[in-house]
Amino acid sequence: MTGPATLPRLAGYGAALPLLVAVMAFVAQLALAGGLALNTALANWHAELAGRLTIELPAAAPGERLEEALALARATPGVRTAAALPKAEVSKLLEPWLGKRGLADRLPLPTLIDVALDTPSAEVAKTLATRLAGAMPEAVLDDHRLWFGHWVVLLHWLQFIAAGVVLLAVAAGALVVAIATRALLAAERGTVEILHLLGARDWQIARPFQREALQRAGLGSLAGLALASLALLLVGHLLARADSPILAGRLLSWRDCGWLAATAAAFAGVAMLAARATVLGDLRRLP
Amino acid sequence: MIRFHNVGLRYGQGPEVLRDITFTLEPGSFQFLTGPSGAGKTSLLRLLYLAQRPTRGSIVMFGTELNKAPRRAMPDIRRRIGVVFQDFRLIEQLSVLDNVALPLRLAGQREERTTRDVTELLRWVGLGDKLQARPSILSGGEQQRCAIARAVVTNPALLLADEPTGNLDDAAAVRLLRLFEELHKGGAAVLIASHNTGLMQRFPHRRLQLSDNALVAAPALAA
Repeated sequence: MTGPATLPRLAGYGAALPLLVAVMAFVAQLALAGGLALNTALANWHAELAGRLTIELPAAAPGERLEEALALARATPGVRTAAALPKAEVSKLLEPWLGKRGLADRLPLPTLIDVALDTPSAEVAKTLATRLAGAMPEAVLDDHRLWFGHWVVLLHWLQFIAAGVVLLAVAAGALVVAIATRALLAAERGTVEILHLLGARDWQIARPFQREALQRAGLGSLAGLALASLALLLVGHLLARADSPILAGRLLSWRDCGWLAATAAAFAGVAMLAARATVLGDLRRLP
Repeated sequence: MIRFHNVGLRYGQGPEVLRDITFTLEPGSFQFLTGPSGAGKTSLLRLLYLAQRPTRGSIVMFGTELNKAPRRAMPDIRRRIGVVFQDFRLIEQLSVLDNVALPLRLAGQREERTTRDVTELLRWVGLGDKLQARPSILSGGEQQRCAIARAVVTNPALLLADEPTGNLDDAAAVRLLRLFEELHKGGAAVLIASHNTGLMQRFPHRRLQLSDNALVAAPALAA
């Protein structure tokens, strides 16, 4: 195919196509951003909790039991440090539920010992649990795995759903382009037929449709990306205000932002391929 | 060069619009395709410019048996055929120059040579001052010359014209036929569908006569 004057400019897809693609790209990018952010949150969480255990002593336990528990923990191979959490810190942990009026200070709260392992190890946790059970059965060892495991399952399902939303949005975008291409083919029927009769190959006829779809869908997906970026900035701002330890820090890395931009490019690429497939499929009815 | 053998054509489930068509077009021949309206002239032309596949029989064009040829082989065959459609079928979004250049560009000819060849051809058919004009502002005769230029720009081996003199007065029709004869001198086989018997008398070339959707012996033309 030679220069741009080879084939006539098409009547065009009109304004509706970029608009529809923008909406779908927006939905896909929000879903993708959600999935990526969940990934980061999960990694943050895991980094926070992996290799840490908590020993819980009942509030009524005598003070020397704390020292015994600390000594037992520190004597366990694989334990790096063991330190009692100050009461103020325990109270702070409970603030979201009990409020800031000092109620936590008046309640018989358990004593918590934060245990850090040299490396995350189920074996060390098991040894420590066995030793605690033998020496002080009233102590409870929490290795966080049970509740963390539930969260991991939930987050993985949310990521799976987000990936499904992305795929559905891309598929819907391709469908919209295919329908619009059919309409454009009908409008350009005479031109297409004369090109065919003059000896144009199918790919030569498909090319202006592809170019038009790429431009229009590219415009739409960029608009979707811009809207999604604004929405994500807003969510980031709200999360920062929430001051949550779990959702602290940047939830989207530059690489994640690259994925979002790649999704916008993918929308344009899929639109181009959808237009091409539609035109080639339609041309097959011609001899 | 082109051989039809027992070719039949029907559209969908309808009756046959062409029956048992057998003929040969030799390279460099000049023939009229004639017959009353509805006899099947346009359908036969559609088979010749590959807008239609026959429902039966065999067609061999330029050594390729169309029934056995894959669809992807058709563009190369079409590029050896020039067609002047009855309604010209010029593309309105393109200038006269770009309309005529289209077959060359589709064939991948270099742009500088294309522009030079097309400009020269358009001057030859009297459209040298209309290179950038859109087809809609041309007169009927100019549109026809543009369509002829597009049909011959690739030096086709076969030139087909569907009722090219239909809307012309006698003088213009004669001029047009002389133009086709000039093009024929370049070596192309020419087949012109027409029912203008007066013109055929003035240009006594061989005739393919269609009647009731079949080829019949061409009757003698009245003196």
